[in-house]
Amino acid sequence: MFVYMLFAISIGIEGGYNIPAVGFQNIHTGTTVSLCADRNMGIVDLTLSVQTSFLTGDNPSYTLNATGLRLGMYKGNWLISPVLAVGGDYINRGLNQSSETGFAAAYTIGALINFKINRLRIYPKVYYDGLTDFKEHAGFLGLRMGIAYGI
Amino acid sequence: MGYRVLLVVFLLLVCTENNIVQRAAEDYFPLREGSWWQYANQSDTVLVEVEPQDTILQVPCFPVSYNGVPAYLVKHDDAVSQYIRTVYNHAGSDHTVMENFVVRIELPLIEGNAYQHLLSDSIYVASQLIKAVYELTGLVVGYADETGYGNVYEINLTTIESITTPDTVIADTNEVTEYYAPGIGMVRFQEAASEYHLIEYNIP
Repeated sequence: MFVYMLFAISIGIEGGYNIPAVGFQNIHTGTTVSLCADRNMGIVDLTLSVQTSFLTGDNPSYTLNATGLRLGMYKGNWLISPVLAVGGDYINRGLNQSSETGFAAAYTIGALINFKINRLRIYPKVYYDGLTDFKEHAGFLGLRMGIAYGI
Repeated sequence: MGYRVLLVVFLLLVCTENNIVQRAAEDYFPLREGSWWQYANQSDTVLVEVEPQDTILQVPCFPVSYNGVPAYLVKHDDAVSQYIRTVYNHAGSDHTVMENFVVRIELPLIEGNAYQHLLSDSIYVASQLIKAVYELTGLVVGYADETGYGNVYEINLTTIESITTPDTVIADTNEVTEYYAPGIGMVRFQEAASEYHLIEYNIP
């Protein structure tokens, strides 16, 4: 990540809001924060991000955290661009003093709108964030606001 | 190099018995009218049926028949609760000492979650104080991957029901271990020396 960032053309931060869309019957809502490093690869812009989501349950004592890496792509020179990303998440779910952990494959499908002001890029993004352990699939619908600065 | 790393990650995820998305996303306690589960041990069968919704103490709940004996269950976001009523018989007539809902299983299921819930109440019958206590202790022991079911949770439940009169204390302790599978509900339970296995079920 650090080496990639050294050669990145822009770095950014995103923050947003998630609601369960598939599965996750015990989840109420959640927030997501991610740090991104982007690089133009000619046809597409690649983005490597570290993201963490914190979700609260319908039971107020229940929480679910998912932290992981995503490798994604988008078109930085389009006003409206599709977004695709794949990666993996470390998941921790807890109730009262107990918790359990595990890994899941993750993917993101969505779209963003690019607004550019000199080196600054501001982009609202809507997406579906899916998680799977290859036995069950579940996911969230999300809305995020991102801001990136071109180096 | 990159695709090899992805392949290793993929294989690790596929081969693991720790299916955290399944446990987080699936319903381990489908409580719907018309559902039924049939269990058997070596010499006996138990039929559990969810009957049409009823209302007790102004709480909408499902009567769940265990071989014809009803238990009234209600499912909330944080727990499955059971209606408990303790009756004291004096001179041929029944007096309700205590009635309420008590948490039976805390939701969602998380390995290691231990809990205790207590009901207690008292009344005077023929100038004598009669006290009833119902105590439920639960422990989600853990989960194991079982073929055909996925990650199955094991839950230990201990109940102590007691009635205290000026002369005596009558206490009844019951221990049961229940196993819950995603999307199905209870697939096995152990009571005393008997273990019952799910042989057939229907969830509409």
